[in-house]
Amino acid sequence: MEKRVGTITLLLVAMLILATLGLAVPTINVNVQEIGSGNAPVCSPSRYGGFYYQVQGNTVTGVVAVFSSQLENATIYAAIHTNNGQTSYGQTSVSSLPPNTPVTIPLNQPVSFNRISGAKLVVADGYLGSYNGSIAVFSQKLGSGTWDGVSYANPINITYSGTEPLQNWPVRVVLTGNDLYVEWNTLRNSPESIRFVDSNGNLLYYWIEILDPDNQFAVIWVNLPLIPREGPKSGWFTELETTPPTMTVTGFSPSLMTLRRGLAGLSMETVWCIK
Amino acid sequence: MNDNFEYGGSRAAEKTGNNDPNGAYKNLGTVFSRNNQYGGLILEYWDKRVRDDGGNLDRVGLIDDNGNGYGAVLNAINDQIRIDVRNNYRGQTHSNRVLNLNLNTWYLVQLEILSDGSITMRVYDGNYNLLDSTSYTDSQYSDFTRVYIFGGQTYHIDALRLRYYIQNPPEAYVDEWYRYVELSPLCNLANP
Repeated sequence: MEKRVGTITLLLVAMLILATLGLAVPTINVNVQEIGSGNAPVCSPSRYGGFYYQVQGNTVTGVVAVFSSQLENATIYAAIHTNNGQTSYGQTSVSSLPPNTPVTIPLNQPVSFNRISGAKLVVADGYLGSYNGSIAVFSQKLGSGTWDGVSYANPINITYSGTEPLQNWPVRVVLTGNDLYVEWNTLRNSPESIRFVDSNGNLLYYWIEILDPDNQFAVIWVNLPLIPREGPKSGWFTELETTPPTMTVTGFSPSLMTLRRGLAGLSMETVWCIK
Repeated sequence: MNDNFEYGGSRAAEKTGNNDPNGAYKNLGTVFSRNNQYGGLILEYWDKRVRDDGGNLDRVGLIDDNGNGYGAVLNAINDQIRIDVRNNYRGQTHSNRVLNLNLNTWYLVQLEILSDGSITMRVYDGNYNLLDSTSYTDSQYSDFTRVYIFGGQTYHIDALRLRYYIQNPPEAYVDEWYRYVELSPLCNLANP
């Protein structure tokens, strides 16, 4: 049941994202937070279905919902908002509701049909408790790496046309003012809070050569454990599935201050910096 | 010396005192060959001439245990760059090229020593913009065990590193940003 709930949830959220972005992003990953995995148990869209109003004259007294799948031990909540700030709500519990079977949720107070500005319908089955929470939907480019939910993340694509696999290779990353969402003031105050991860979320060693927040310019060398050779036809991901040549720069948390472990982890053969 | 280029530091190495071939060298800890699987070596460092105390040339490079090797020459006094060939520590410069340089300005110097015999010196400004380059061909020396800082006085060196050359190096491109979208369904229907 939970797996099916998650699958349907994923589809719903994906449709929402596509609709929101107007298909501006050709490929995206959508990571959906599991129901109840947030700070508090949360509600989320968990069913396909529809609803209509139960109307008496010009007055709405209830909401009639229909779901395409069977509900077991579920509670259905409905809320009607009006353009004068009024909200009418109600709930109905069902022990077993067959698919495509209308169920009525009576409202605690009738509202004028002409004043309805919006409606919400929430189904909770097996997730009772506190119903405050949020669902975070993260969008990012496909293949841009694991993103752990910090405030800002940016995919960095690595291109390499050579035929020699490169191990522990330093790659220069240049950040400029054109890179939106580089929090330069944050970097100024906590420069070593920046971190780099590979596509699997593994932290990478790096060395900041230049950091100039005033001019929004930084040069950082990042050590990539393995850059596979370019295949004649196949792309990065099929060439070596375990190490796609992408990495993500993310920020910024004081807890990340210890991630720069000195130059020992950087694969430049010899680096001397006079501190 | 209380000066630096590398982020987070406050000091740099200072070449002062007697002129070339006096100065300093430091063991690399192993032998680095220009004939490696990648096709060469790259020595990089930041160089800033701070005073004209005698000897115009800032000379940094790679040598073996006998003082044979190659280096880059930066002349911020007379606006020149050259390639240094070291034979038993004694240097001879080649491929002189005029380049307008300033005192008290950090320049990134890149010395590329390839297996095909070519030696190229490139100079970048503080924003990694290429200013100019010069090349020379010499295949006498292939293996290097030391980095040297010779030449005139007084200049500063910082963030010196040696890495392998590769013909088509991997390049990093910062891609578009996507901020996350957060949906917050109001589930508390008693207080939506």
